[in-house]
Amino acid sequence: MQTFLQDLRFGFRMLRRTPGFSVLAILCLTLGIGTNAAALSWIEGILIRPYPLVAHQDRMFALNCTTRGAQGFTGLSYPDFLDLEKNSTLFESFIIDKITGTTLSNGDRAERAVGGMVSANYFDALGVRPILGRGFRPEEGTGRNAHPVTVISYMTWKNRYKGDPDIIGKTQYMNGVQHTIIGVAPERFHGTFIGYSFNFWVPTSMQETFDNTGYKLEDRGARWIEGYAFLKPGVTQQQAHAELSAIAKRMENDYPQTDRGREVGLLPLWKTPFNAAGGISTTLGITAAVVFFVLLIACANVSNLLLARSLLRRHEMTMRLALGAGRRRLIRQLFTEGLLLSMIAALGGIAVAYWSRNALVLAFPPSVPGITIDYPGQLDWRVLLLSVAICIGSTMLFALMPAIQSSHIDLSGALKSEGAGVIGGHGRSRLRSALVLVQVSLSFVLLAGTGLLLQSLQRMQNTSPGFFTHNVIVSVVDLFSAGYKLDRAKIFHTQLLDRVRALPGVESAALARIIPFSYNPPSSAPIEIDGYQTAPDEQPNADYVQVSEDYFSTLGIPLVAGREFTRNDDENAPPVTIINETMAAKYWPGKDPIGQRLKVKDNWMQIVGVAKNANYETKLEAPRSFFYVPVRQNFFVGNALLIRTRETPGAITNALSREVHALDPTLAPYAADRLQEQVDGRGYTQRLAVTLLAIFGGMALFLATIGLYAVMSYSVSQGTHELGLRMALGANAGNLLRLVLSHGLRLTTVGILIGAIAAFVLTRLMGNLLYKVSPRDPLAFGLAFVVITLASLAACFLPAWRATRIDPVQALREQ
Amino acid sequence: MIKLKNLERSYPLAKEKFFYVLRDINLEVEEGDFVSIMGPSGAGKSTLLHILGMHDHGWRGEYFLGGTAVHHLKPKERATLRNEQIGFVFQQYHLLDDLTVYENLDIPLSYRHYKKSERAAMVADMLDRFQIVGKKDLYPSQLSGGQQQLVGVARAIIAEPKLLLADEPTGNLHSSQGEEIMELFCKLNEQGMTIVQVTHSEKNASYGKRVIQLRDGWIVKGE
Ligand SMILES: Nc1ncnc2c1ncn2[C@@H]1O[C@H](COP(=O)(O)OP(=O)(O)OP(=O)(O)O)[C@@H](O)[C@H]1O
Ligand SMILES: [Mg+2]
Repeated sequence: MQTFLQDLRFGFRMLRRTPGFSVLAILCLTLGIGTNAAALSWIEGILIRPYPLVAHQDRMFALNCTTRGAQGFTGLSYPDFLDLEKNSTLFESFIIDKITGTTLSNGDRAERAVGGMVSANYFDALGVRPILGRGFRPEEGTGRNAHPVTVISYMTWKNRYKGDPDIIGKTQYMNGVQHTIIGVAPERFHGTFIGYSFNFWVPTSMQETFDNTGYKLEDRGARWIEGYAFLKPGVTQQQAHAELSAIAKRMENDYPQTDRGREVGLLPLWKTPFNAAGGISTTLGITAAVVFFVLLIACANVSNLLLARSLLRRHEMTMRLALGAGRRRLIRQLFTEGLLLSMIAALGGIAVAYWSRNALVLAFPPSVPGITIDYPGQLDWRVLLLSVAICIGSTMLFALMPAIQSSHIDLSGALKSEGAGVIGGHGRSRLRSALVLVQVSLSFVLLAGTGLLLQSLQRMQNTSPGFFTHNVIVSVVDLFSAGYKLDRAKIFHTQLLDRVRALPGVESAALARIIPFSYNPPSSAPIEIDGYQTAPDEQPNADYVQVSEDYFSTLGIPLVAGREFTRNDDENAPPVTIINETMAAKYWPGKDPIGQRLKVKDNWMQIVGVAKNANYETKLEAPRSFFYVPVRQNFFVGNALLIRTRETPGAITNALSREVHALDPTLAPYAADRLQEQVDGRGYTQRLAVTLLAIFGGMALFLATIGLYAVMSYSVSQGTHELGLRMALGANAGNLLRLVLSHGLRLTTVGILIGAIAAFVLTRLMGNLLYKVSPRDPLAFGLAFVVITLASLAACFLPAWRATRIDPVQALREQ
Repeated sequence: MIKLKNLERSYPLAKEKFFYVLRDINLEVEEGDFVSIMGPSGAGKSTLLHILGMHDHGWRGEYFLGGTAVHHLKPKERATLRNEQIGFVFQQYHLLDDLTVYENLDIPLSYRHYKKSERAAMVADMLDRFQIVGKKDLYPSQLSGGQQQLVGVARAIIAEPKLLLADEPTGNLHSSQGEEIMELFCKLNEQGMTIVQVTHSEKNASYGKRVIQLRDGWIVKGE
């Protein structure tokens, strides 16, 4: 300890004596440690422990409900949920948390709000106590629309109600129902949905009020529930999973009609299938790898700086050894000095991380008024501990090698030769070259990765989703939140559609229950098909959406056979449907599906058309069976308007407001938006990945360039004598320029080669972020090659130019 | 071959003050001459040699080399002229440690316009002439001082210069090794090479045809 303090004091003095070195080294390390701490805080705050006020997140798992043989998450029905709760023994609790939304009027403007439909035990199970009022009582979870009570978020309380201390007991009008505010959630509790900060919570009993597709609490076939389970202490995920599977199996036997093929499992929070976790976890995983690369590069830089400095301190080291210091002691001293550097850098790094902990939100589009996108980083003790570990680990990395090198001074030889001929030379300089090699190859991997992501982003933007996006404008009049009932909504929408079609500049208009690429998933239902032989365990399933006449022409989705829906396809006409090509190929291979029948919910429909495939939720989705039904045969209160026009969204909003106002003076539409915005909105994970990788890749390239520059200028200054001699022997400026540049480029080339091999292996891990781009795309690799070559030329040029300015007489005299 | 007129070389000392290393040097060296420059330490001998060897360009005055007015040449033209006409031998040999004997000999050729095959032939020829064929793959550190200087001389004349400049070529050698080098110089001189050497030893100077004494930047004898 005594010697440690002594070393520390001496280290401080050394840092002060070489301020340029210290500043550069600390800067590099701050970048390295800071980016790592930031990435860790994101992973901790968004994926590992996303709900800071929830007590036992390590025992909290997402309920993963799937259909055997099919991709993707399907919800759980309420009766099934109750059965799970009743029949399980290994669980402390199950909670429901279904995202929902509403429109709140705030004086003269309408604002969206996101909230959760939650089981009554929600706040108790999470261990979150409202700061005012209370959570839900058990009885408030049941009874159809029986308990219009709500807990509001701290933000809502502060912003909407100006922090009113007497808020409890006041009411809020939501979806046509007066809700009593019974509690205010704590400031740091934003709900349990990664990506959104919730504004309010209502109990499951209010499901019908908040779900425009009808009452579902007694329907075992309606799968809408998203939720979590808390394991009892000591229960493993496997045991719990096994119990859930067994219960699901029993339900499958008891209720084959609705539950055949249904499976229930558990997923860790970071794999939660029904919020933004899935989309962002790959991105954050790649980010973690990338910032680790940045750290390695930063360490290599500092290592290089230390090696350069150790030459200056040769005399000191020789003296210490001569005076009897052991090598071990010497290494420890140098290590302590390194630790001092990285401790200072760690402080800076943690400041950087703290400052950028909420930076991810910046990559998302400006949100709709009232809705808060939420991707908070979390700098808790675990992150701090890991950062300290990174700090010590990187010290090991960057300080140890130079320390060992320095301690290996040959005492007798130390005063004799001072190592001439560094261009392409030995030992120490070879180590430094190796470090540059590592930097260049890591940078190459990052740049190639950035190139791939950029390209896939561009391809994604350039690929048509299968429908028009630029001259289609979408808007919503939230009749559901306004409390409209079905009959009134039907009349309203029919009249509105007529008025919109008559607006100048409108080419066509249609209704759809949901907009493509919106966060609302299409409906999904078991289907039955005339003449299709199902496998024993198979439950054919397909997604569908309710659309009006002119939907296909408005969106520009071509029909490959049959006809569009017409206005006459209403409740008085026989049920019809239009299927997509994938569905036609799967269930009627080689046959003409027109005129065939399809059964959904005891309802036989005749196929009247086949539409070309389009994307429905994201451009990344695989083609799947999909069908359309006429909205007039399946009416819902909530519908979106799709308008084909060359007018601007602003003009449409104004015109639409007038028309809506004429029909109902109390209503206003949401600001209209191009469908393109909707489509772009679903590509933000890709954009986030590109942004992060570009930032960190740029950082890495910058650090690597500095590293190469340092090594090259060092070797030029060490090689002054040799360069001067060569000049005296007849070399001209061009010869010397070439000599130095080729030395630098040789390093770069080897680095690029290693990097290319590594990138070949590593870019495959980006699989699901890449869109129509091979992980070995030659353009991305070529681009990385060009950028790195240019950067290293730039890094080598100044030292090379300096080499040509050497005065040979001076250089030779100095020997 | 060489003609210097009123040549001077100075270094700036402080503000507007100069330290003169060479003053008003007037010198003529005929083709085929073998000149020794002598004088106390700091007299400016090396400086003069580096000027003759066109390593240094910071002088004033006139310098004619084989009829060419060097003082009117641009740096690039000087470099070309030097590469064609001049070879240089250093007191400290100045071989490149990381290159073999063979590669060291090849350096001057690589900076002149020779073809690859020509270069190989010339290096082989030189190794032969100096009887160091067996040492061609050794590194300088594996040679004795005399052998290293032998390589140094071979490197200086490999590009067939007309003028050989040597700055204390035997300064770091034993007397017997020194004699060997001096005899080599005599032989080269007999074959027609003009030689200007700097030396401290009367004995070495006696190998030459005449002596120039330099003191504090002035030529005091042998103009
Ligand atoms: N770059 C320089 N700046 C200032 N003075 C210099 C510089 N180079 C050489 N000199 C001075 O020029 C003078 C002549 O130096 P030079 O090397 O030519 O001497 P020399 O005759 O070769 O001596 P020696 O026999 O010791 O080799 C010396 O006094 C030296 O200090
Ligand atoms: Mg000298």
